[in-house]
Amino acid sequence: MKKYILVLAVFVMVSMGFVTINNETEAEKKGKEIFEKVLAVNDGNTRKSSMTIIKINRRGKKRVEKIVNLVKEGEVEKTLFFTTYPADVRGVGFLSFDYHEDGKDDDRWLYLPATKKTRRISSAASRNEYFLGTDFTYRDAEKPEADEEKWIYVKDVNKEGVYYWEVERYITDGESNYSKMVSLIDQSNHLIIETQYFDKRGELMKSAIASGIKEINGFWTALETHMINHQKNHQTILKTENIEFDIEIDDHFFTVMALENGVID
Amino acid sequence: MMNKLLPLILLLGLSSALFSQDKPKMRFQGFLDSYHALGVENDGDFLSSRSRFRGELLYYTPASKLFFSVNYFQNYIVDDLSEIMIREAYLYHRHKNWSMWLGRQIITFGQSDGLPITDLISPLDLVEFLARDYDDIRMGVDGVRLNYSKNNMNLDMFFVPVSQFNRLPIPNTPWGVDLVDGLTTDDYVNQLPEKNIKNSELGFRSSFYKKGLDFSFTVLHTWDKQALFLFNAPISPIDRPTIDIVYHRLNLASFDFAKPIKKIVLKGEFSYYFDKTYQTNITGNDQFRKTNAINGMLGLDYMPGKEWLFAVQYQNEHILDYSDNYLVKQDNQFGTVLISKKVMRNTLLLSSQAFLRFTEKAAFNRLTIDYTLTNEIHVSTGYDLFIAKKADGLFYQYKDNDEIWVKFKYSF
Repeated sequence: MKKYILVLAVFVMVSMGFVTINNETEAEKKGKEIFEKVLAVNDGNTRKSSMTIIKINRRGKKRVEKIVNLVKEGEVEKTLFFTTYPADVRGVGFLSFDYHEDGKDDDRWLYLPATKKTRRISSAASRNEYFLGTDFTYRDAEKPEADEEKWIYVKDVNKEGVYYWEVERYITDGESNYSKMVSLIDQSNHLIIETQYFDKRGELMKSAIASGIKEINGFWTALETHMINHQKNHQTILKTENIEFDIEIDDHFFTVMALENGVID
Repeated sequence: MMNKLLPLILLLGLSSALFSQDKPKMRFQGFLDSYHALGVENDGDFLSSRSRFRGELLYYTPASKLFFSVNYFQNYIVDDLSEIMIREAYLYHRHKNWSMWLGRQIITFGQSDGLPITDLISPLDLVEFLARDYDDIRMGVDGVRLNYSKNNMNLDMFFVPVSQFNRLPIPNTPWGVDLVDGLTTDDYVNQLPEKNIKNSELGFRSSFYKKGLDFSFTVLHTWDKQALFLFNAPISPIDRPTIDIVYHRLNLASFDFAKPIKKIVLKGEFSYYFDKTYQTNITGNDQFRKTNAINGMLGLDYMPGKEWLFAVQYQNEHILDYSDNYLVKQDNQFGTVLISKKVMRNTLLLSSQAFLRFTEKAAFNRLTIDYTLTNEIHVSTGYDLFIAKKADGLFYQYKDNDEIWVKFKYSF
C-alpha cells in the first residue's frame, strides 16, 4: 500500500511538474511570438532625428543635453551622432559600425573638437554602462536583438481601453544589471510602452514609460521616454524631435571624415 | 597692412562664390574664461593670471563652411601676452569625395596624445609651457589641406607656404627659460627661415579605418618646430652675448595604428627622421649635426567602465650614428599617464595627467577637479607638480613652478 501511495505521489508530482513545464512552454512560446512582433516593428532603413536629454537629480535640478543622430541599417548598422548642446561639448561626435555577427566587435570612433582628433575607442565596454550620465544603459536605449533575450508571456492587460501584453524579459547573452524586466507591449502597434527593471535582488530598480506615440510616415514611434531610477531617486527624459524615416543618407556621412567635419544639418 | 588683409579678402571673395548656391546658416559660439595660478614655492606669486574671450563664427551650407575662431587674452602678469589671436580662419568646401580647407587651420593627426612624433605641422604655443589646455597649446598654420575620402579611407595632402614654429616662453616671465642669466627678449635673435617656396612644407597622409584596425602612413617635408639655440659670446667687453634661435628642416616617414583588443585600444606611432639636426657641445660650424633618428611610441587606452579611463604612452627617440658630442643622449625616453574618472552623473571630472621625461628623471603632473555647475558654467581647480632630479633637463627650469590654480569658464 505504501509503495502504491509512493508511486501515486511521484506520478502526481511528475504530472504537476509536467503541467507546470507545459504551462511555461506555452508562456515562452507566446512570449517568443510577441518578441518577434516587437522585432518586426519597422523603424526604417535610415533615420535622422534630434534628441533632447533631460537629466533630473534628486533635488529636481535639471541638466539638458542635445544630440543629433543619423542611423543607417543594413548588414552593418551605422550610427553617427553629435552633441549640439551644451556649448562646451558641442561638436563631440561618435561613429559606430555594428556588425550584428556573433563574436565580432563593433567599430567605434570618438571625435573631440578640443583636440581636433578622432580616437578609436573600444566597443567591448559593457552595454550595461550608463551613457552620458543618464539613467539609460546602452542596452536600455537599444532595440533588443533576437538572440539576446528570452521573453515569457504573463497576461493580457487592459489600461484605459488599450490592450497590452505583459511579458517578463530575461537577458540571455551575458551579464546584465537586472534579474528581469517586465514590459507592457501595445497590442495594436507592438511598441514597448512600459518597462520595469528589477535588480539582482529582485527589487524594483528603474521604470521607463514611453509616451507621445505617433505614426510618422507609416512608422510607429514613441517620441518620449521617461526613465525613473527608484533606488537613486533621479530620472532622465529622452525626447525625440524632427524624426525622419527612410530618407536618403549618403554613406559619406558614416565616415571619420564626416565625424571630423561635424555639420550634418 | 594690405598684405595682411589680402588673404582675408580672397577668402571672403571665394566664400561668396561658394555660398551663393545654397541658403547658408550661421552660428556664433565661444566662451569666456578666467584662469589664475598661484605658485606654492615662490612666496605666493601668481604664475599665471589671465582671462580670455573666444568667439567663433561658423557660416555654412551642407557642402561649404567658413569658420573663424579668435582669442582675446587679457594677461594680468605679462603685458605682451594681452593680445588678439586668430586661431583659425578657413574656408572648407566638399565636392563628392573631395574636400579642401584653405586658410589658417589647426592640423592634427596621429595616434599619440601630447607627444610630437608625426603630428608636426601645427606648432605649439608654449608661453606657459604645458600648463594650458590642449586647445590653447596647438596653433594654426596658414595653408591648404586637400582630402580624398572614400569608404573610410582618407588621402590627405598638406601644403604650408610659410611655416610657423613653436612659440617659446618670454624670458624673465614666470614661464621664461633663461638660457643665460641676465638676457632680455632683445638678446634673442629669431632666425626665421626666409619666406619662399623652397622653405614651404608639404605632406601626404593616407589613413585607413578598417574593421578592428586603424592605420596610417605619412610623409612630411617639414621643419623641426622646436628651435635650437646658438650662443654667441660677446666679441668685446662692452658687447652683450646673444642667442640665435635657429630652425632646421625635418623630413620624415611615419606609420601609426590603433587596434582595439577587448576593453583596451593598443596604439603605436613610429617615425623615421631623415637628417634631423641635433645640437653638439662643439663650437663653430659643428655646433649642429644632422643624422637619422627613429622616434616611436606605444600606448594603450583602457576603459574598464564606470567612466574610468586609463591611458599610458611610452616614447623613445633613438639617434642613429650617435657621437658623444651630442647634447642629448642617444635614447631619449618620454611618457604620459592619464587617469580620469567621471562621477555624479558625469558632472564631476577627476583627472591626473602626467608628462614624464625618463632620461631626465623628471615629470610634470596636473591634477584636475572639474565641476559642471550649470549647462553653461564649469568651475575647476587643480595642482601642477614638477619633479626634476637632473639639473640639465627642461623640467628642471620649472622645478619651482608648482602651482595651485582655479578656472571659471562660461560657454555660449
